[in-house]
Amino acid sequence: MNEIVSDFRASSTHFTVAAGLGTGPVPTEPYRSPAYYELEQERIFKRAWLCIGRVERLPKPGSYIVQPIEVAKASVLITRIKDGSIKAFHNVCSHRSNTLVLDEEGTANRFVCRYHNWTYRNDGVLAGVPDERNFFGIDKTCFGLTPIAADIWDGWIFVNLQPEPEVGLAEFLGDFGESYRGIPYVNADKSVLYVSHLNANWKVIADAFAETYHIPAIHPETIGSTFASKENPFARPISVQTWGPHRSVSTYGNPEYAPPERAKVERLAYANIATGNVVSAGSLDIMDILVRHPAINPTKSKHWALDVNWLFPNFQFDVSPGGFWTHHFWPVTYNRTRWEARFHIPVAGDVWTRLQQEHYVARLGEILLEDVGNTERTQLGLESGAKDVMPLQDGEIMIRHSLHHIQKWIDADTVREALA
Amino acid sequence: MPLNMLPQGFEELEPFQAYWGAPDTQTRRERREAATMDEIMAFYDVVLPLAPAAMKHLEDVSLDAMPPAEARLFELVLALAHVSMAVELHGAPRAPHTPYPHGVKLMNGPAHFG
Repeated sequence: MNEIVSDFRASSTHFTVAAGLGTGPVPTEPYRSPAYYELEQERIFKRAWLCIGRVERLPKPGSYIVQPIEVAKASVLITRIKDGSIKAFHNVCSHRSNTLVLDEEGTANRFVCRYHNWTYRNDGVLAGVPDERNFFGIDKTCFGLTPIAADIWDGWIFVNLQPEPEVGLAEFLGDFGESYRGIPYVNADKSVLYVSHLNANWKVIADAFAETYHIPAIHPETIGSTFASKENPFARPISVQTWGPHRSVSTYGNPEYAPPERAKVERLAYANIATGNVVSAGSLDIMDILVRHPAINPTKSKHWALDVNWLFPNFQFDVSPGGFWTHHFWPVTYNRTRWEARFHIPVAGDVWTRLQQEHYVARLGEILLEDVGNTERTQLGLESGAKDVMPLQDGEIMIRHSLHHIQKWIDADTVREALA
Repeated sequence: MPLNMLPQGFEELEPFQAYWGAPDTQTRRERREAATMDEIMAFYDVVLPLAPAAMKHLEDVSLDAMPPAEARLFELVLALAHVSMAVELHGAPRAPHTPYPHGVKLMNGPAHFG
């Protein structure tokens, strides 16, 4: 681990140099090149462990979810079987390769292909073939669903699309997996989900959630005054940590924030609830358990807003005094992305909590839209060819670190070499 | 009972039912995004002054078993949260410099009225 604390009040911070990264401008080609995207497909998304989400999405034996992974042209069926373990398969019938499960999630112990009624158990075993005797001596044990490597770390489901993963999940996560073990994920079983389809490279949108430098500019009304203040006007980070290809930034929060006088509905919505800041959805007493974990707000700063934890390549989970949320940036083409943003909030017990949630979810929608507009304009600029490089400042270290490790994985012939 | 009937004391809000009374969060978002600033202000100016009394009226009612008139009233208060984005944040129906229509959709809303 590489833990770096730097004083945001100094004339400049020193995260980038301390992390051992270069300070020169970085290339824009990875954001606009179809050829580079093909390298990412083969070298990164078909080799890295990819986080799918929380195990709470599969609450009981029989639960299943279907996750599209467009960048690998894959549909992944994830099931919880009778013994409680979690399995993953290509969502493809063994007969004529039709899509097996058409729902996005549900409960079923058996899946029937719509094409010819081939039937599978949720552990992948082929259970039934109509008119089996008219095949030519078919051995059903050879025609189960194609398994995909799946593993769990601290309640997070990961899959790996290599037929035999070169490294296990624990090795892939390295010290990050040790430091972040045992976080109590409050409201892990309840969430609201925004799905956005946007015209930008997946890294453009991931980058947008990796720095707070942009917040006072793009989000002046929605959240600007919660991430910056007179003592930190450009929303510099508090601390940065890197672990191999993974990274985390602890961001600054304005401890003085209160809804402005004109925000009458916001004041009403938050009238009966104490929350850590505006991107919160739970009460402080519940969240206290979460924020005591040593990996969360690692410097235990009183200026803390939230931590952005970015697991290579495309998954971020953010933790704030108000709870946690996740971003999955799923590449669709070199310049299109499907972005899943999932915010974990409790089931409201009364109308006051429910109104606060509505205000929270409505504001989230506005913030996400501001980011979509921004990233699509960035993509247009990148594709214009006007610029071959972009200068990054110290607070944008996660972007530099991400690009560095993407290139490293592309250059490496083995995953172990990429992780070295 | 007419479908737009609200609890006693909130009859003034009944004309807003047809457009702003929506069963889930995504629909409330879409209604606000599609409305003009005049429509938004007309709703905000009438509903906001009554909202504290509405919340007081509703605060002992269970979210699991809200009578229809109370549920309709609560839907209007929830719509106010969306309308406030236009009035209190943007000063416009939608966030400046954002695409419309757009591909940002709430697929799963909060439990109850979501």
